[in-house]
Parts: sequence; C-alpha cells; structure tokens
Amino acid sequence: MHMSKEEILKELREGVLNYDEERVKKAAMRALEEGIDPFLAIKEGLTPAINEIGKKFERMEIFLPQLTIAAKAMEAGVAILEPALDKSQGEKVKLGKVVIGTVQGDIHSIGKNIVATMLRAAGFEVIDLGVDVAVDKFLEAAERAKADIIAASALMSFTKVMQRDLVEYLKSVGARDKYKLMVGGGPVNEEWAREIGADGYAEDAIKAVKVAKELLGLK
Amino acid sequence: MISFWEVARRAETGPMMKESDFDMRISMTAMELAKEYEIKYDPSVYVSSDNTMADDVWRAGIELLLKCGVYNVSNKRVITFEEHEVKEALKHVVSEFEIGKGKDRIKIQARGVEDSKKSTIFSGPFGVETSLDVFVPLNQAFIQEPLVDVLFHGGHIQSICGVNTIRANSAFEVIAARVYAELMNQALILGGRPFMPIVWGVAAGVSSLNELGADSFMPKNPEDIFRAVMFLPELKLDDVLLSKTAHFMNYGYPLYAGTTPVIGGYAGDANTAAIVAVAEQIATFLVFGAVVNHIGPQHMRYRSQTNPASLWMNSVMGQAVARNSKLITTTSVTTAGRPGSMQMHLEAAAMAICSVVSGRNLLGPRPAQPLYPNHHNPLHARLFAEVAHAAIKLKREDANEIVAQLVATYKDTLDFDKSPKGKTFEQSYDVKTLKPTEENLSLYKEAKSKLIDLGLELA
Repeated sequence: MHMSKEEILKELREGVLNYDEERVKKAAMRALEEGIDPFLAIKEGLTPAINEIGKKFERMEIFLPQLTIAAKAMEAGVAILEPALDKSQGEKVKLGKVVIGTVQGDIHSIGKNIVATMLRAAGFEVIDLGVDVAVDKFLEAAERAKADIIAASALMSFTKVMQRDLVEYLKSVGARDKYKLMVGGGPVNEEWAREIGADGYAEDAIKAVKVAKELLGLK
Repeated sequence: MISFWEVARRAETGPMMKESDFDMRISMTAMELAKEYEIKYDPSVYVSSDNTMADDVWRAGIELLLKCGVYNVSNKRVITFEEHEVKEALKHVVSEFEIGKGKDRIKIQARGVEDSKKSTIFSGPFGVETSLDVFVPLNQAFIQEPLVDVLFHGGHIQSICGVNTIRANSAFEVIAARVYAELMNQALILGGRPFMPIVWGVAAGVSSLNELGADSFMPKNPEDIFRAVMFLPELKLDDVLLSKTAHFMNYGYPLYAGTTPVIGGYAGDANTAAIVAVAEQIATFLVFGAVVNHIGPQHMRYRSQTNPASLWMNSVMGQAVARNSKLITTTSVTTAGRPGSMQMHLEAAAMAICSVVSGRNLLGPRPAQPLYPNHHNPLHARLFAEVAHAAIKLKREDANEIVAQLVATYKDTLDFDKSPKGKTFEQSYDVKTLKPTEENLSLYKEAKSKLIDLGLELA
C-alpha cells in the first residue's frame, strides 16, 4: 500500500517518540522504497522527534532509559537512510565527530553516557572510550577517528586534574590545536575549564550539545 | 547468611554481559515492576504516608535484585542471588550496634517509621577540599558539636608539597593519606573526643593504596572505625571495591556501605528509583554484610538531594526498608544552598524531617558538587541534628506539611546558578577560638526561629 511522504515522516517521528526501533526501521526502509529524499526523512522525520525527546529529558518528563532507547531508534533509522544520501547531504547530516570518555582513575559513567547519547541524538558521531581513559588514549582515538572534539568527564575532585593533564599532553605533543576540548562532571565548573585551558564546559548534557555546536561554528 | 567470600567467588564466576545491557536491564525491570505494583510518583507529596506503597516497593526491590543481580564492571560478570539467600540474610541483620569508647560510645539502631528513637547523626566536612591550615580546626569544630555522634570523613586534602591538585593513584595520594591520618588524630584529641566513632574514608584520594597508606596511623582499634564502601549507581561494583572490602574484613572493621541512586539516570523516575534504592539497600547488606547501609537520593538534574523527587523517593524507599527489615540505615543530605545560607539550613531541615519519620538515621548536611575549598560550616550540622531530634515527635502527615512549607522556600532556587553562594569555614568561624561569627550565629538563630514557627519543637 502506498504511503504519502507526510505519512512516512509521521511514522519516523512517531517511531522515535514511542521508543519503537522496529517502527523507525520500517519507516526508514519505506521512505527509500517510496523515493523520499533521505535527507528530508532525517531532517523532517527523525530530527524533530529526537529534539522533542531531548526537551522532554531536559524537563525531566522522561529519563535516561527512555532517552537511550529513543536515541537508539533514531540511530537505527539514520543507519538505513544514510547510505542513500549524496555526499553534500551526508556532510550536512553529520555535525562532527566527538571522542568522549571519563578520565583516568575515574570509573563513573552515567554523566558521560548521557552526554554521549545526547550528542548522538543531535547528529554527532560519537566514539565512546568508556571510563578510566588515559590521556594518550583520548588522542589516539581522536587521531584514528579524525575527530573534531575531545570530551573528557570527571566525577571526582581527585580525577578532574586529569582534564588538566589532557590539555597539557595535547599541547606537549603538538595536538592541542587540532581538536576542540570540552570538559564536564560534578566537580567541574566554568572557572576550572577556563583555568586549565579547555575550549568548552557544560554543566549538563543539553548544554553540552549546544557547546559542541558552538565550538564547531554550527547553529 | 551468604558470606563475602561467596559473593567474591560469584564475582569471579557469574554470567557475563555488556555493561550497557545491565544498565538497561535495571531500567526496564524497574519500570515493569513499577507498573505491576502500580507504584506512582505523586509530585504533590514529599513525605509519603502510604504503607501499602512502601510494602509494594519493598517487594519490588527484592524482585529487582533477584532478576538483575549486582554487576562487576571490572570483569563484566553478574553476581546473582537466590530468594532464599535474601530471606536468610535478612534474618541475620544486626539491628543495634555499639561503637566508640568511653563517653563517646554510642548505640546505632535500626529505626522504624515514626519511631520515637533518636536518629544517629553522622556529620563532618566530608567531600569538601580542605586546606591544611584549617584541616584540624574545621574537623575539631565538627567534633565539638555534641549532637554529632559519628564523624564522617575529614575533608579532602587536595594540595600538598606544592602539588595543587593531587592526582588519583599518584604518590602524593599516599603521602596525603598519611598526613590525613595524623591530622585526624590531632583533631579528635584537641576536640576532646579521642574515641569518637568515625566513618573513615581516607579523603585524600581514590586509590586503594591511599587507604593502606593511612592504616598504620589510624586513631584507634579497627572495631571502633567504620570503613566506607560504596556501590556505583546502579547496583555496580568493581574489583577495587571488592579487594578493599576483603582487606577491611580481614582486619575486622565494621562496614558502612551505600550508594547514590540517581533519579533521572538509569534508575528512572522517583517511583522506579525507589525500587532500585531498596534493591541497593539490600544488596549492600548482602555483598558487604555492612552494619550501616546508606542511600544518597541523588537527582540527575539538580545534583543535590533535597528536591521534591528526592524527598519523595527517600520517604517511600526509607519506609519500605524500615517497615520490612531491621537494617540500620542512613540517608545523606546534599544541598543546593551553600554553607552560611538560609537555604542550606532549610533544605537540610526538610530532608532531616523526611528521613527521620521514614525510619532513617542521618548523614550530613553537605553542599552538593561542585564544591569549593573549605566551604563547610558545623553550625549547619548543629541545626540539622536538632531538627532530626525534634522530628521524632512528628507523624508523617505533619512532617509532609512542614516539609512542603520548607520546599516552597527554596524550590525555585535549586539550580546552582540561582542558589545562594556560600562562605568558607574561615569566614564563618574564628579559627582560633572555634566560635562561630556573630553573623553565622544570627543566621542559625533565624533559621531555628523559622522552623519553630513551622511547628517544630526546638529548644
């Protein structure tokens, strides 16, 4: 049965808003079958839905599990639509690459996971290195992925110092100017970010997306 | 009862799974159980009076623990428990525990809902970076507060020997740990309570080595010192924690174990977080055989623990545990308002009242992260303890009314960019005489007067 463009875009939106990965996948495949511009399907179908999910999370109307499932559904849709994009469209869809991790000596993951999820949902490609990440591992991953941003999380007073070491290490090996550096975490604030010479600080995941976009000169 | 050695064995042999799958399993199971038991968060209630809900949250918490287990992030294995093991363990709960020596020997007890027994007050400058020049006076000022029963940590030493911020696992962590032990001894003696019970988390770092670095110079016998062991949220631990626990057990220390379930994180909304918190409360006892089992009702957005959702979650979880077990428990209080502010006094009072009528002992208060050096004020602990002791006369309905009025005073300034900024210990006390400044004392009296007006019987 034929589906109109509006119906398919609605299916994509509803799929994300209802945390239904299978529904999103089906709608994305249907979009390709019906010859709908994949860029349009992402921009007018998936993106508004995940933006709404992000706002709901910010207002704490939904929580990390729902955010994670919605973001996964969105990613599944993008994975189907992306290969059909032409080169210029592909560049517009992916906002940039972010290498993210919790610094060495620190095994807290929740805050970092939320930031990674929100960045992915916003259209960033995210390489999540996990927890207890040494400074050289951040750089190695960033070089390998040709990343735009390195994001380092620290949840303890004794580990935030590793964010400073990351700045120093990047400087020492001549890589500081190649990447924008974002920091965050419970004991971290704007003042600390400025003091160590990070490019950006955000106190929560929503602001982290805004800061990441600003650092790359995106709206 | 299941032994720690058996738990450690299961941590080596349990089924393996991805950490992200475990996180989502917790979330999904908690949501299913909340639906099955019809456990709903009511934002208009701060202190629940619903016994049926409390009992349902207890049952759901046990189910969650049995279905999900505890995850070892180091080797990706799940430590699982059987229902009969949980039941058997709960029969062996220690509901009273004596600790300390001489006049400072105290009895810590399991508390019931609306219990007339006083809450034990754990307090100290925990979690806050403390410079060496005020380390002893700041701790001494807490020790000299007679209503503080147990000193909780001593403040973080973060700068030493010209190193401005001690790095995790560095040599300076171990050096600072030794200094920490020395200074804690001094503070206890100068404060006139050398045998005061302590929760001894070597607040000079994060590594196991720094714990060991202070061991030989600890103030007194192992049986008088709680060692702190904390799960990662939610229901997770690692090899470092297990190995620390083995060390503490080998040397006969009683354990203070806990975690901070995060509303908004994998624990979900306040209703599902209450279920997760019950599971964690039971799990800290099963894994560590802890004497005191602690919950910090954390919130993803606010990062403090006195917001409406945390209060509700704490009351429901607390009553679930208090009505169905004899576990000795504590709730911590971290505030958005900073030391030396009226808001910090009122936030702390709200959580103290909520916790006491819900069957908890108390830890706190402390400003929430990010923390600023030397930002602590023992007068907050004094009023916090006074409020806790006055709250034993309250019924839950009355407590809810008072807490509602307190929340109304600060709910719009819980975000850190709006919450009142704080003062250092040096700005709030005469560091030589350890007397609070006139301004600090006036604020304390004004806060006390407000609380009396709300119906609390404070002396």
